[in-house]
Amino acid sequence: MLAYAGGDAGAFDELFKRYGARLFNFLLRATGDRAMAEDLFQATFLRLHQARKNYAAGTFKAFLFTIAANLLRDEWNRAEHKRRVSMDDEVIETIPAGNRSTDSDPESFIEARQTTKVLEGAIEQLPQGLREVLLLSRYQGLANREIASALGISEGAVKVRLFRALAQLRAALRAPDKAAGESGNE
Amino acid sequence: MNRCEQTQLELTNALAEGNLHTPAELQAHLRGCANCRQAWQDIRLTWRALGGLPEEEGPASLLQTTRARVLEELERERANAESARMGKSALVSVTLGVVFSVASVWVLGQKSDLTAFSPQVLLSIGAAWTALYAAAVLLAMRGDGTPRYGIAARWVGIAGLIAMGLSLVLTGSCSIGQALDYCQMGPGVRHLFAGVQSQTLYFLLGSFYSMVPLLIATAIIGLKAPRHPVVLGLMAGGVFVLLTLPAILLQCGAFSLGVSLSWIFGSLVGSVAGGSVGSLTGAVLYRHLRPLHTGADTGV
Repeated sequence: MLAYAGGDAGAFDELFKRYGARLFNFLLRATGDRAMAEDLFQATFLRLHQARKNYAAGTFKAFLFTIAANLLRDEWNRAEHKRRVSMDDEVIETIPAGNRSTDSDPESFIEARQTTKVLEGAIEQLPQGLREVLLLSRYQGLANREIASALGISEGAVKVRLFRALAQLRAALRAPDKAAGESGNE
Repeated sequence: MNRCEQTQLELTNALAEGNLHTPAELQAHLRGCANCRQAWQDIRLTWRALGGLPEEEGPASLLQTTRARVLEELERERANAESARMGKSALVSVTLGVVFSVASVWVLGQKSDLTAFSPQVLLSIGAAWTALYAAAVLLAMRGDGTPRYGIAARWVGIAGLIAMGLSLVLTGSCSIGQALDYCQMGPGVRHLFAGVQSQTLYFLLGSFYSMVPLLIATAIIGLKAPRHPVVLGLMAGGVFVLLTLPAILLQCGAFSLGVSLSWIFGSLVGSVAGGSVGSLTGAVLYRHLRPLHTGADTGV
């Protein structure tokens, strides 16, 4: 990151390769809106570029996702975006072949597909504050301390939000029909 | 938040943070609470299920566009920074060029009669000298990029400027006119130069006045940039010859063209000799002073 801050294009390329896809995933799950995720993806890297000289300590990952989280909040604050109903199906269609480890077992596949669908729907149903904590923790591997710093909240608040997010997802998995019905995806 | 909720919260966060060891207190609670055991199992299953969700890399066009935009920004910033640096360097070079030029004219004015020149001629020579000094300073400041033919251009500029400074000190201590008078009339050397024509004398003195400063300057620089010493010496000599031209014109303005040319050629020969020998001396000294040197010097 320091090399990139100094203007090294090769260093940027390396960081982009390592974190580009992860950032896109985070934004896609956080917004549930592909177009918005793409806009925010570009905006995050451009903001990162502008702010790169402010990078002082900590991990690059935390720095990048702090910027992304701030942009997400700005976006959420600007307008109440409408969830795209087709999101679930769209995501399901993009499951990489390698992930379909249950192809040989139709029942398992259907079960996995349902779990995926329920979870995706439940994540979308989470309040923003819970969703961003969950995504940063589970998918970006940020420590609670880093999440707290990225979101400008206390570490205790991160713990509570993560617990609540998991509790809601558990509830959705226990009652998939109800959860899916609530999300309007079934 | 009751005890069970607190336990489940701690367990959730321990899982998220990758803490493998459940605190004894929580374990004790789990053993005695079937509800929390079930919840803990659910939490782990949910966490695992989340990890199994499909991931996307993002559209290739998005990745390419974003990457290209940032790289474009980087290139634009680099070009702007380079431009700003060049502007700053140019300003510093011209400023130093003016200072060096005025100082040089002042030194020569102490030893030569400059009243023979009209103000316009003096100004023209001063302007030319300023430009030459500015170019040498710019070379010393900005010529630090990739060495060409093994020579980092900045050392050429630095050597030329050091030699010019020493030349002015030499001139201030004993001008070429004084040296000429001494050669023609000094009791110890008069007979040596009795049969020497004035043009030859100017050639010899011009050589000496160029060779000594350049020898010292390139020997110093040779210690820093020991590779390709002859090339470095010749290039530094070229810079030095250019810088001394206005000084020669101002000092021999009252003399004939033949004298001026003799002096200039003498300066050229002295520069070539002094630059080559000085650089070689510096390079030899470098090897003796740094016997363990492996080739990674600082100058080239």
